[in-house]
Formats: sequence, C-alpha cells, structure tokens
Amino acid sequence: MMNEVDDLPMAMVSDDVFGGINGRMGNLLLVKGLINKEQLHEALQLQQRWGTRLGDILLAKGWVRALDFYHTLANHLGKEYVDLFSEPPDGQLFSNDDLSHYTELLVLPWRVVNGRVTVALADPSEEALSYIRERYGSETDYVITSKFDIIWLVQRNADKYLDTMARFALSERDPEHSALMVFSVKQLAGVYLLLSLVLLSIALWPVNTLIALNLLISLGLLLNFGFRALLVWVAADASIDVKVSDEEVAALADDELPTYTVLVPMYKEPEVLPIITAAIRNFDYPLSKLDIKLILEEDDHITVQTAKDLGLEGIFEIIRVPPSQPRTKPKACNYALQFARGEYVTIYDAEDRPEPDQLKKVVAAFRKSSDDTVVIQARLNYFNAEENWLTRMFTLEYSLWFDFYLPALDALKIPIPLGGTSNHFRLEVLRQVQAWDPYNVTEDADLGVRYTGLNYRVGVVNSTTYEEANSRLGSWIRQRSRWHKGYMQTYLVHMRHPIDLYRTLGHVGFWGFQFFIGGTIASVLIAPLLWGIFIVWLMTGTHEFDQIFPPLVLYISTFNLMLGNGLLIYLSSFSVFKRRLYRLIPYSLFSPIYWLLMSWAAFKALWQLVHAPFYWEKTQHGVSRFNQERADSQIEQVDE
Amino acid sequence: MMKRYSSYAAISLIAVAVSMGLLYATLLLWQLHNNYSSDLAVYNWVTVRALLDAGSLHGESDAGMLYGQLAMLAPFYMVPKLLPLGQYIVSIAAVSVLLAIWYGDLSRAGYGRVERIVLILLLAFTPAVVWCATSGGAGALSLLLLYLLHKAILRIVHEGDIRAYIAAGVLMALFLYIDAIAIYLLAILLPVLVIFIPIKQLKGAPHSSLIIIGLPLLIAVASWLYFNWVFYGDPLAFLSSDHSAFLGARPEAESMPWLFAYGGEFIRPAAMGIIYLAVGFPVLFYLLWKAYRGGHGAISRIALACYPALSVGLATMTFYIYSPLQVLALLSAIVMAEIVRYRRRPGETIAALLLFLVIGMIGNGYLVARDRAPQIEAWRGALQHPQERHDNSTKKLGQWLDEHRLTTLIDLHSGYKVVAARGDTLGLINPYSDRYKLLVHGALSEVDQIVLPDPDSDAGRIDELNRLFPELYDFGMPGYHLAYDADGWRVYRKM
Repeated sequence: MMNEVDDLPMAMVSDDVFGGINGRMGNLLLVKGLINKEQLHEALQLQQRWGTRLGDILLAKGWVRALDFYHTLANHLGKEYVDLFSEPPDGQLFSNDDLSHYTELLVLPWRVVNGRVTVALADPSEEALSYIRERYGSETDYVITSKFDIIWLVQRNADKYLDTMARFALSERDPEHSALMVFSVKQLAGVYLLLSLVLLSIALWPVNTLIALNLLISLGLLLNFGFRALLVWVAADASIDVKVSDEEVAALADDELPTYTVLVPMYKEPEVLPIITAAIRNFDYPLSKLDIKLILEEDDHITVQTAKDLGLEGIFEIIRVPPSQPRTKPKACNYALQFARGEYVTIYDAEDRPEPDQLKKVVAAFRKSSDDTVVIQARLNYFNAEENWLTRMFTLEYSLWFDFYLPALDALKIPIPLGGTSNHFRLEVLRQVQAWDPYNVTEDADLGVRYTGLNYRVGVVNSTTYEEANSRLGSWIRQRSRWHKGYMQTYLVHMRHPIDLYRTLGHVGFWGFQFFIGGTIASVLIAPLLWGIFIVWLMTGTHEFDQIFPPLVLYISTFNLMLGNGLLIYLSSFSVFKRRLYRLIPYSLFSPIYWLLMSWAAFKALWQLVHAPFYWEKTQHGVSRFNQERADSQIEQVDE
Repeated sequence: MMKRYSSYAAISLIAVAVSMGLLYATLLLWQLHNNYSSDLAVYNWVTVRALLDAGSLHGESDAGMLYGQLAMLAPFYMVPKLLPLGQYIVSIAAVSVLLAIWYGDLSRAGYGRVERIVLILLLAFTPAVVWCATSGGAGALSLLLLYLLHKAILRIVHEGDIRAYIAAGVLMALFLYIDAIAIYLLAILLPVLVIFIPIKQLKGAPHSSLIIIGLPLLIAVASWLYFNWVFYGDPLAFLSSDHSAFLGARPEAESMPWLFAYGGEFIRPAAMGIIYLAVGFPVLFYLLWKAYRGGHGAISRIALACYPALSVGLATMTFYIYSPLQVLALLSAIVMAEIVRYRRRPGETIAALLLFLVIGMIGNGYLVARDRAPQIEAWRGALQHPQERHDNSTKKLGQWLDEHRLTTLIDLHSGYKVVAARGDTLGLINPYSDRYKLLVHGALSEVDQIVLPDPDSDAGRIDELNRLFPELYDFGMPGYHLAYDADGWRVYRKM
C-alpha cells in the first residue's frame, strides 16, 4: 500500500519517537484514517517546536479519540490493548505505596500471566519501562491501556486512602498548621484571661479602661491606615511592575518548557465549563505539556456529564472527588494533586480567563527568581467590572489588593496571602508541605503565610486572570464571609506560637502579618462600632461619649475619621490606575458603603467561625449577565 | 531602581543646607539689627508657643482650626530659646532645605559641580527667594512645597508615574494646611491640570483624572470644614473669624497701595502679574522656548509657568494679597523645577541660562525695590540701614511683664508683640487655654494681672477683653489697682 506520508519531509517523520515494530505511529494513524495529512503535518511541526511526542500532541489537539489512539498505539508496539473496565486488574497487585508512580507514570500492575506480572500502561516511556523492570522484574511484560482507565482505576482502588490523605495529611503530619482545631487551648485560655482582665478593669476603673481601649483601637487604626498607605507608595514605584517582559516570554524555548499541571475545581457549574476549557486551549503553551485536572465532586452528576458531553481533548482529565467532610475546595485540590504530573501546578476557578501567556510568564518568573521562591501569584481582576455598582466596587478593591498590596508585600518580604486562583506552585515543594489545609476556607491565604514561615518566598507576577465578579449582594456576602472566616482561621493558626512566628518572620514580616491579616479583620469588625458612636453623636449631640474621648484620643479618632478614611478612599481611587479603568475612579467615593457590607460579612464570618468553622460558602459563578463578547472586548480594551 | 545617594552626596546636601541656612541667618541678623520685625512671624511664633505652653490641646481652643497652617509649623517652634531667630527659623530652614534638594536634583539631572554651585548661588540671592527666606511669612514653606509639587506635575506630564500623581495630590492638600495662599494658586491650577494629564487618560474619563489629583485636596477641605463645625459650630468659621489667616490683607486693604490700585479686579492685576513674571523671571521664557523647540511638553509647561499670574488676579480680586510678589516670589520654585528638566544638547553650556538668571535677578530686584507694600518696604529698608522702631511700647511692656511674672490674662491676638518681648507664654492665660474661657466667663477676679490695650488703638480695637469688658481699660475693677500705664497699655493687678 502506498505510504500516504511519503510526501512529508522524512526528517520530520523520523522524529516520531514511537517508531515501533509496525512502522511509525503517525503513519499508522494516517493509514487507519484516524487523522488526515494536514493534521499529521502540523503535529510533526509542533513536535519539533514543543519537543513532546507525536501522540501527546495529537491527543492534546483532540485530533484523534483517546480510545482509537491507544488501540493504535498497542498495534504499533505489537502489544495487546486492554480495557480495564471489562478486564479489571488483580487487586492483590495494587499497592498504595506505589500510588505516586501509578499516577505520574500512568502504569498499573494488571495481572499475573504465566507467572509474570503484566503491567498496563498508557505511556511506554523509558522512565515508565525502567520503573516496571525495577519494580516487577526484568521479565515483566506490559499491555497498553488508556490513561483515563488508569486514573479511574487508581481512584476506585485507592479511594479511601486518597480521600484520607486529602483530608488529614496536614493535620496529622503538621497539626500546628492545621485549622482542624479552630482555637488552641492556650489561645482559649489567653482570650479568657484577657477578657476577664478587661471586664475586671471595667468594673474597677470603667472610664480609664474604656479610654485605654479606645486609645488602643484608635492607634491600631491609625497604624493600619499608615501601613496601607506605605504599601501603595511602595507598589506605585514603576519598577515594581516589570517582572517578566514580553521579550523574556518570547525568549523561552517551547521544547524546554516543563509539564504544567492545571487544577480546575468545580462544583455544580456546568455552564462555565466551556469558558475555562476555552481559556486553557487558548494558552500560549505547548498543549501537550499541560496536565489538566477537572476536579468534580462525585455526586455532581450534571457537571460530570457536561464535561463528558463536551468531548474534551486528551489533556483534560476528570478527577471525581468522593463525598466526604469537609466539602471544601482545598480538600478537592489535595485529592486531585495526588494525580498531578507537572513540574509546576496552578489552580483556576471555573469562570477564570487567564491571560494566554500566563504560564510562560510564570516559568520565566520562576527561572529568574531565587531557588527559595516556591509559589508565584498572578494578578486577579474582573471581566464584568462594569456590570453594576457591586462589581465596580469589587473591582476597585481587587485591583488595590492585587496590583498594589500584594506586589508591595512581596517587595517588603511580608507574608503574602495568596489569592483564590492563579497561584502557581512548584509541585515538589507543595507536596512537601502537605499542600492546602482542607479545613481552612481561605486555604490559599494560609498557604502563602505558611510558606513564608518556612522561609520560602512567595512572588507576584505581572499577568492577570480575569474572573467573574460577584454581582449579587447575597452571593457577595456569602463569598466575603467565607474570606473573612478564612482570614480569622489563618490568623488563629499562625498565632498559636506568636514568639516563634516573630522569630521566623522577623520584625517587618511579623508586623506586616499583624496589620495585613489581623488588621483587615479587626478593622472591619470594629468599624461599625465607631461609625455607630459617630452617628449617634452626630444626630443627638450627646455628651455621653465625652469621657472616653479625652483630647489625645479625640484627635486621633477625628484624624482617623476624616483623614484616615479619606486616605483609604484615595487609595481606592488609585487602585484601577494601573489597569486604566479610569471610569471606575469616581466609585471610590462610595467606599464607606462598601466597607459596611464588608463589616456585615465579617460578623457573619465570626458567627460561623464558632458555629460552622469548616462550612464552605459556595460562590455561584456564571450568573453575570455580561456575555462573553463583552468580556472579550473589555479585556482587549484594557490590553491596548 | 531608585538612585541612592552616596554618603559623599548626602554630606554635600547637608553642607548646602547648612551653608545656605547660615547665609540667610547672617542676613536676617543684620536685618534684625536694623530693627526689622515681621508681624506675621512674631504672631505665628507666639501662637504656637502659647499652644505648646498651655500643656494640653483642647479642640475648642485649638488655634490650629482657624490657623491650620500653624499646626504644621509647631514642631519647629518647639526648639527653645532661639530668639531672636526663633520666629524666622521655619522660613530659613525651608529655603535652605529647598536649595539642598535642588542641588541634589541638579546633580541627578547631569549638572556639574561648578554649574550647580553657580546656579544655587544665583537662585539663593534672587531677591524673591531672599525675601521668602528672611521675611518670616509662610512664603518659604510654600516655595518648598511648590517646588515639590511642580516636580511631581512635570513627572506626570513626562512619565505618567503613579507616584507623581500621589505626590501631586498629597502636596496640594498639604499646601492648604501650610499657606492660605494655596487657595488662589490651586483654584487656577486645578482646571489647568487638564492640560497636563496624558491624553489617553483624559479621553477615558476626564473627571476621574481630576478626582485622582484633587481628591486629597477635597478631603483636606472637607476635613477642615468638619473640624470647624465640630469645634466652632460653623464649618466656615475659619473664614468668618476676625483672626482668620484666610482674610489675608483684607482688613488693612485701604492702606495697601496694590489693593488700593487694583483691589476687587481680576484682569488688570492678572496682566500685571504677567508683566511681573516677564521682568522678574525672564529665564522661564527661555526655558519654555527650549522646551518648545525640543518638543518636551511645551504647552503644558507654559500653562504651568503662567498660572501664578492668573492667581495674582484672583487673590487681588478677593483682597487677599498686599503685593503681587507674595504670589510671584513662588515662581522661583517653578524656575528651579524647569531648570532640573532643562535638557541640554551634548556639549551645550549653560551660559544662556545663567545670563537669563542674572537678568532675572536684576528684574527681581527692581520689582522688590518699587513695591510700596509696608511689609516689603520694611524688609527692604532693613537690608539697607536701621529702621525706626514701632514696637517700643510693646517691647517695654513685655520686659515689664517678664520682671513681674504673675498669672496674667492677655489676648494674644492684640498682645502678641508684648508676649514676644516677654520671651515666652508661661504664666500667661491666653485664649488657647481652658482657664481663659473660665475667667472671662465669670471668674475674672481670680487672675493676678490683666493686660489691656487702649480701646482706641489698633491693638485695642481687636482685643477680646476690651470687647467683653468695655469699661475695664478706663475704670479697672474692684480689688485691682493700675500697676502699669504707658504708651496705650495698662496692666491691672490684684490688690
């Protein structure tokens, strides 16, 4: 039969590393009519650029069905293809100790045939074959199967183990950093003692005690204002934003890029699934080097079904997380992390729109960072910023946070509370620290602080992921109360041993942590009380508060009220400056109303911290009325 | 990366500041020797000393509300016993620091050492700058602030740097607390800012650009209104008070030649402002011409250089300034900022620049020499020869009070020169203390001494004690005897 690839340059065809006993893989697929000539041609070109195998490229591009591919691969290698569902492996051969090898090398001991262990594998790489020889002996034979079968079987056989690891790895190996225990005994004793002393003091010296408390609060707020002003001033330095230039991204060679794991945890969000998959396809990164895990809850049938119906390319893997408490995003991510194969790993929410060059920028950022930089946070912002008042305010806040505060914290070497998505980790170190705390509802913020405590560095990169801002008040309150609760958990966890923390973080890091994490919580909880006193005084002209506002306290409080709050409004107006969303600037004047909403959420969070500390207030995505075109045009406009 | 000063550079800056400080101090000592005295400097010093000596700050009596500027100066006046220079130390320090900062900026801009020294000396001896440094008013601090503000604005024009926006916004707000003249400068500058803002940003959201720069000023004004409302019951108390610094020369408008000629007008004084600018600061035109030829934001820089002339019109229309020099002296700051921005071609000397600066010095001197405002005449005269003393009466009473240190009730608004002559405010019960309010509202007989100016004199007309107790000066009160009576001042002492 005429070889249909004869007219292709031989140098390109011969690059097919799957050259087996039955001819070249590309040739076989072509002859079988599973791919066409153009696809093969392009795949071979990509192979030269990306430096990955032809099969991976064809699967990543979705040009060949996985089942057809693995059948052909078996044929190509002269091996048997095994459907692990109809011919399941011998459970006796399965070992939890080998789990990481199963998932990383895509191998699974299948059966003992003629006294020899036969291993099912999806990727007959040299690394996988040498592992098989080393683990099961040189006489071992192998059969070909689909990687999806292996992943599914690993999940089925090690379900309990994987789930237990996802839930308890941190709390068992490093209990001091787990939020499983909300308050430590010492903390409870300390709070009890402090409250008792304050109450006793109020009973004995009511006015003086209240003055002291008032002074303490006023000074705390004053310092908090000053701290935030400092952060903005530091981040306003033009040089702080130039982390990775376009030239540095262009200089990266695709064939030298590492495998990148992308985790996409979802729950009942079938409508946004096409958005994130499209965004991932749009990455300026060799698709065959992407290891994408769609992390779905086992009982979320509708999203699972949607994912199946989409007929996604071979790089997308569905990880089903078994139902167990706590039902949190970090637990789901911990579960899926056990299947990760990348050198780096990142997380995106389902509705995220990362900038296409983000992964490359992060790789470049890691390469130019010190070795102790183990996580890099990309910036977050919203594509539906102008949907309504709430999304505008949310965008102002987010821009201030990610464009100013975080880069400044990075520059000042203060612990960075990571954002919910688009944080990029070195997988090896992430596993070493037992990954995310499944009991902390802002696991990302906690992890950022934990890393700093372990003397690792957390960096920030100049790439943005666009998300969907919460446009409904109820949903916003739920999301914000979760964030506040998570901050409270994070603060409590890391303040279990404050002296140790001080030693670890140093002066700047420790006080930065106090103001940025502790100060954020304290200010939103205290603000309503102070505003209340002010409004009562304003409306009634009462002199009841005069006693607790001696001149010094009065001056600090008045300064805080007018100039401190004014300063925060001013900082807020600057927040969108870097993104040139100038139209949002006037909305900064509404900040005090937004702060009240934050306080509302904070009190809800405080209540939940006591009554339902691990309850995950789910944010519903995909509800924005902004259509995709609008989002695209907005992002393009910003990019100009 | 931010350039860091080497220790050598830091020493150079300190040397410039100290040598300039000594130079101005020497000049001022000569003027003081010639009986120069700045009423404003003395008043500021006495007010702040009174606040500090009162021992505690109380909102309702804090002069900082009415004289917001003074609160900014308080730390400088805390330096004890620096008389006679104490009242002028803020002015001298501000100009000296400004020149040192400028020296550093010139260095970064590529000027050689000799060039820097020559430029510093030319600017330091420009009459408008000398006047700011040694006249004891708020001009010196305004000069410093305006230089920093213009540097920030030029960075907005050329670099669009975020820090420049922040700096411009904060400096404008600060300016309001430093010098009431800021109102007139900023009222013109804010609308003109539209010219400076990058066109992309302006097209996107013009009002947002103004919010970014103007918000701190807005917050400062709102805070000020609030403070006045809280402490005085009237948000506009700082304007309506007889003692308000914002009234400027209005109370004495009739005796001011400039206001007599142009008061209440805008066009003519603004036009005069431009003429003054051309005569006193021709170097600005040279620098703008160079910017125009180089295409370096010429239009915005022309606007930046000329807006103070319009401010002269506005401040004259409202009877605030007694001389256009009060505003135009500040042009020196703009000249300095422009010189830093001045881009030379390779190998080009600064001879033309120096020539224009020298011409400007002469023009400047001419403008100062022909100014008939009493304050400027007194300052100018003291540079040349001894002046006739007008404060013998207050000096004599001050010395007498220093010798008779009893608890004394005095209104500082009328008696500030007396207090200055006494040397401190310890033991004086002044309007900034709680006790003053208690005494004048019912417990007057508890005080040892009461100081009163003749109700028909200038000081007597604004004296609060005379207003509250109209017959006290003439008839005294039971239980008190007349202990001092000379040159229109009386002191009643408890028997």
